[in-house]
Amino acid sequence: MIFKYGYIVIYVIILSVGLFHFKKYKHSFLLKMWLYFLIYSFLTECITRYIVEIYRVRTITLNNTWFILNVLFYMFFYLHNIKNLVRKRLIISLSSVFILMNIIMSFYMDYTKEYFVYSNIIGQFFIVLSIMIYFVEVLKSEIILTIQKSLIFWISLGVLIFNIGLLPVFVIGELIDWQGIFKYIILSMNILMATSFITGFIVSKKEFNT
Amino acid sequence: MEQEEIQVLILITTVIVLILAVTLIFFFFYFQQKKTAYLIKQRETQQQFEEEITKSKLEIQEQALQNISWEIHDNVGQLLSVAKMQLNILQLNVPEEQQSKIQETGDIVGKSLQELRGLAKSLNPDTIKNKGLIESIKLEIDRFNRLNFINAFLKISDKPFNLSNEKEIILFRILQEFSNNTLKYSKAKNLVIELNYTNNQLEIYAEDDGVGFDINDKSKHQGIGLLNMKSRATLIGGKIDLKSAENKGTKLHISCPK
Repeated sequence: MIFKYGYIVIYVIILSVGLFHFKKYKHSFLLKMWLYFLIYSFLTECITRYIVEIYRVRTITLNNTWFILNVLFYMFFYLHNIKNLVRKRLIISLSSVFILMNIIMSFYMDYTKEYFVYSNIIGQFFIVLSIMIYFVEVLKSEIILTIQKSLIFWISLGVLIFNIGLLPVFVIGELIDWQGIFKYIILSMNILMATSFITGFIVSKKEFNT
Repeated sequence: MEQEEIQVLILITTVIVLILAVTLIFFFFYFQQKKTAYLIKQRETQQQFEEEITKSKLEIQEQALQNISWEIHDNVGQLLSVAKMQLNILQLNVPEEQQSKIQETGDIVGKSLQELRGLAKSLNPDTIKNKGLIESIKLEIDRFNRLNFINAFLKISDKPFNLSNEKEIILFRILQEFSNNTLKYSKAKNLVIELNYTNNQLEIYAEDDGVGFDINDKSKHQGIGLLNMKSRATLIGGKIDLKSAENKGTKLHISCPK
């Protein structure tokens, strides 16, 4: 039960807190985009759950689409948060590699029938790299002094923990047939990420959410 | 490896990786926060120190100007007054044909006296304090016009307001520096000073139509006291902008908050 509907509950909690504190970041285009992305993720979760439960079919296309959009969204998110040109170029190259990799993979795998596990692993790794690049920029600037009051920091922390935590289990996932501990780790990572997001909504201040 | 062992292994790896990542992130952020705060504080102290130095430099300068002004007024001025009186007395005792010459000399001495008093006033910071910025600039403009080789003109917008003494003295000294440069180097025919009072800002424009200079030539900045003007303006929270090109005159813009 908890593995079936837990994620939907998590999303509902994040979105409710997020909408409650909407006025703190409604002036920021990127943060609004991020909220819309969360809503899209929530809808994907609901629809896939509905299809799986009612029609008893797998929803690989929807999942693969979410995997890819998730990676591309965060790349875009950090691309716009970073000001340094060299770092921007680095993120653009990472996204290009990711897109190219998915195109090549779609020649060998069926997008509608197989999970793009490896592209997902690489994607998670790229997200981690982008966040590191963002952190390097923040560490070198004066933003660091008030960083805990900025929602973007808490988003980054949550997404970083989520993706780093999932890397080992995704790499070895095939060996354990994506069962057992896999489910627990995914759920706990989601809870950790949600906690970070919610902390961000609560402690962030309007003037630092630019 | 057994299924169970693999699962435990994954769990342990995940936990270790997570703990490492979170610890590292918090450590780096904490460390960097302290470091940045320290650097900013250091920079602020440095700035404060420089401000203090500029302030005391200005104070010394004002004091020196005041001393010179007193000296001119009380010493040289007195001597010239006595000389003029002596000439007046002398005039009565000389033959008629020489009286006009003595009269002329007396007039020149009188004029010198007047000029010296004007100069003493314009140097003395107390004049600016007592008369205010506008009056002092007017006096200065009159003094320039009396010199007869430049046409100086002052424009003032509606609703002028008073600034603090410190601000007025500094603004006046900057304008004085600019005008002196105009008189000394520019060979200009006209000098226009405009005071534009807005809601919470005083915008000052000063412009001459002289020979100008190459603003990119850094060696000239010292000579015309540009750095001096800038550091003074910063002291009262103002901004200064000097524009010039060869044969195109020089324009100065100062904006000073109320």
